[in-house]
Amino acid sequence: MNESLLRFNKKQRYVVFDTETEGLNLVTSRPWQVAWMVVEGDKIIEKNDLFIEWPDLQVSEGAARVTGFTEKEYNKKCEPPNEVWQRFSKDLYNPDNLIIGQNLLGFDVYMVNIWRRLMNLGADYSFIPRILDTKALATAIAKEMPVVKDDFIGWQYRLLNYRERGLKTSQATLLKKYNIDHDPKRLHDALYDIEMNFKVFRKQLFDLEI
Amino acid sequence: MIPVFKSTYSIGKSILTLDEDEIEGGPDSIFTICEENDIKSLVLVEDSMTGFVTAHNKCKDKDIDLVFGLRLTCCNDTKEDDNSDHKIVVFANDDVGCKLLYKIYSHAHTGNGKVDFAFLNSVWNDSVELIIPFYDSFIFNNNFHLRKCVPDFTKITPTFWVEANNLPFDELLKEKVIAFSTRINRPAKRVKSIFYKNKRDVEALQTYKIICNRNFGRPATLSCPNLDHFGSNEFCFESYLEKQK
Repeated sequence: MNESLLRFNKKQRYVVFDTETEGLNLVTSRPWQVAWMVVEGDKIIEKNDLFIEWPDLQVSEGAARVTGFTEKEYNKKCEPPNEVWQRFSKDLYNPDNLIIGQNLLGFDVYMVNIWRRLMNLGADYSFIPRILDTKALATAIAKEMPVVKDDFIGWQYRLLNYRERGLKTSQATLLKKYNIDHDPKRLHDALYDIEMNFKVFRKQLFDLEI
Repeated sequence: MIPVFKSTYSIGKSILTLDEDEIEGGPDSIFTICEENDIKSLVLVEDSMTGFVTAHNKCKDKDIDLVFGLRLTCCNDTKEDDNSDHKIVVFANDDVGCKLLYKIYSHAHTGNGKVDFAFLNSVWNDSVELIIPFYDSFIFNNNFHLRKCVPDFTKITPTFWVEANNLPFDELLKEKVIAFSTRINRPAKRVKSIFYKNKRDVEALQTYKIICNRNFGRPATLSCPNLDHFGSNEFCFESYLEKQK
C-alpha cells in the first residue's frame, strides 16, 4: 500500500470550489456567486456560499436557468467583491490546500482572474499548480491514461483539451457512474454541487495513482 | 519586447486594418498606431500572402520598414493524417526571401494547406528565417494537447517567441519554451501579439470571431462565444505600452 497516495492521506486539506457567472465569456462574464468548502481528508471543516455584488449584473437567460439565479435572492445576499475576495483568497492561496473542482482549468480560473481584474488586482495564477480538475481526471480514467506526476498541470490541460465523440465527463455523468446518491434538482445549488463534486473526487482517487 | 501586428487580411484573427485612413467609429488602422507611436519598423505576421503587397506599398509610402512573416500550418508529414498540425512563422529577410515565401505559400495552398519539414528543408536558404510562435506551436500542442509534433531542426535553426498575456497557462508554456530553446541553444525573444488597439476592443474581436466562425452547432453569442481559452484582453497595443513602462 502506497501511503503517500491522496486516497490514504487523512490530513490533506482541500478547497473545493465553484463559481456561478453571468455567462460563459472568459473575458467579460462576472462571477456573481462563489461557493467553497474546506475539507480535511474526507471531513468537511467549513462551507461558504457567498454572492458578489456587481453593478448592473446581466445574468443571461441560459445562465439563470442553469444556476437558479434570482434577482431577489442575489440582491438580498450580495456583498462587496473585495470582502468576499478576502475570505475566499485566504483559502485559495493557502499553499497547504489542494484545489478541487469541475473544469476549473477550463473555466473557473478565468473567472477568478476577471474578479481580480475588476478589483484592479493583477493576474495571479500561483494557485494553479495545486489544482486537481475532476473533469480532466475523468478523461484520464475513461481513456486509461496514467498520471504524469512531473508535469501534472500540463497533463490535465492535455486531457481537458481532448475531444472525443461520446466521451462524457460532466458532473451528472460522473455522479451516475459512481452510483453517488444525489438529487438532480439540487445540482444548481452551488454548495450541494461542490459537495457532490468532492464525492466524485474521492471516488476518482481510487481510480488513479495520485 | 517586439510588437507583432496582424491585420484583417488574416480572416477572423484581427480587427486591425491596413487602411490609410480611419473612419469615425470604424476599425483601427495599424498605420495610425505606427504614426501615433513613431513605429518605424512594422512587424506584421499574416495567415496569408494576400495583404503583403498592400502592406509593402503602404509601408514604402510611409517610410516604414516592413518585416513580413507568414504564419503557416506545419505537420510531421503532409501525406499522413496524424494530428500533428502546429503553427510556424516564416519571415523574409529580403526580396529573395519574399519570392521563397510565395513559393512556400503556394506549395501549402496547392496541397492540403500545410507544409512539412521535408519540404521546408528542400527549399530553405538564408533569405528566410523560422520563428516558433508562442501559441499553437509544436511545443504548445505537445504539452497542452495530445499531439506528437516532431520538428526537424537539423538544417533550419529557429528563433522562439515568448509572450505574457495573463492567460493561466502562459507561465507553464513559457517554462517549456525556454527549456526547449535552451536545450537546442537557440534564442527566445519576448514579443506581444497585437490583434486590437485597446483592451476595451476585445469584445469587438470576439464578435468578429463569432461572425467568422463556421462551426456548426449551438449558435455563439457574446455571453457564450464558444471560444476555447479566449480569456484575455491583453492582445492589444494598450497592453504593449503598459508593459513597456
